Amino acid sequence: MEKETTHHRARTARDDGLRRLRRLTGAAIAAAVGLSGVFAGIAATATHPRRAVRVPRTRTVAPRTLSAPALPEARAPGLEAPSQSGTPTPPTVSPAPAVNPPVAVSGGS
Amino acid sequence: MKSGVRHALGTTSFLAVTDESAFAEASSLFDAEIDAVDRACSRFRDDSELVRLNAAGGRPVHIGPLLFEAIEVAVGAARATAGLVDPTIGRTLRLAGYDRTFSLVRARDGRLRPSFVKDPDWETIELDRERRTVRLPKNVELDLGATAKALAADRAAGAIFDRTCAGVLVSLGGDVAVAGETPPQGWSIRIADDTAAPLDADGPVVAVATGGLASSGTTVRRWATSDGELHHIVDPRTGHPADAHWRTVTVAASSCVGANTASTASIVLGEAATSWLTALRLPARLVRYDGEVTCTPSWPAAAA
Repeated sequence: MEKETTHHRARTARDDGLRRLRRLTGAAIAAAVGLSGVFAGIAATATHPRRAVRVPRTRTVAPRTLSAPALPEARAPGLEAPSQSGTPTPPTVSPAPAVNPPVAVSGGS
Repeated sequence: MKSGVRHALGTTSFLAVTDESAFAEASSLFDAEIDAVDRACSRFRDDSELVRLNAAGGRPVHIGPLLFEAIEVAVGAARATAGLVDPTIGRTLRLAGYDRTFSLVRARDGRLRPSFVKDPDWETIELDRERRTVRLPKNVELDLGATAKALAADRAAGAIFDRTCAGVLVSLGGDVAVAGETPPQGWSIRIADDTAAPLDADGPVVAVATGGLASSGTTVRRWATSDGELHHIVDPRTGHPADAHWRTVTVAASSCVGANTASTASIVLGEAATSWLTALRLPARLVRYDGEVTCTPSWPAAAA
């Protein structure tokens, strides 16, 4: 009789243990799902498209592949008035080697 | 002949007239022209028209005739050079550290961290001549440094000659305009890397009789930053200072604006500038960084 009681207690203890294990497993799964959501949210915020675009917009520099400008049409020498198009035209009289001492300096400024 | 030197538009200016009796009136006209251009076109005066325009945030702004003319001239220079000389580099220069009078920029300690931006180009400027309004896209700022000084020189020389009938030479930071009669053998001008060089400095001397002569260089207007030294001639295609191929380029043309447009474009264009200037038949002298000098065929060989 005493042996049967001891066996019953052991079975009850085993069943209680299994129930606790099931509850723990469920809680662990729920916690894992919750944390996944949290981390996914953080990751989504970090790569939000508005941020990804904003940084290069202020920093981007055009590629340094340069093209030479089309040569403006050459004009006959002797035109004194500046052209309406803004195209530089030669002076009526080209510079000549100077005879007199200089009165002014032209250089970078 | 009578002449005088003064400081204006952040640089050295010079006035000479062939008739001494006309000098006082010529000086007044010269000062008035410089003051008017500064009030209209300065990026660094809170009360200038250009500062008001640059801050308009994309709205059309009614402006005075002088600023309108200066912008039309700048747009003409941009068109003529396929955008190599572009007035829409104002924000680029500001973010690179050139955001105040140059004497203050130069005095900085070099810890400034520049940034380089490529903004929409000159074709986005909307000019309405009838209403005399200008609209810039939001965030676009104009810098008229490449053409406004030359325009002031042309205007001053023209005004002085018209009023006094004396022959006149005006120089604003090395941007030279002449009008009327010249001294015998022309106006003699020393060519140097730095327009502040003394008259007896090294360098060739040429005689100019008509139009304008201008020099652009990359060795003078430089400032220290955390990214190294920068200079003020921006390549509008990249938003960076132009590559250092030419140290100084000097060009003669029918006007000072034309000469400065061509010399500035040549700095940006680099090696190809010689053939471009030759095709335009412009007398020009180009000095490479290593000191080698190249001249176009119409530049006097004896002044190379």
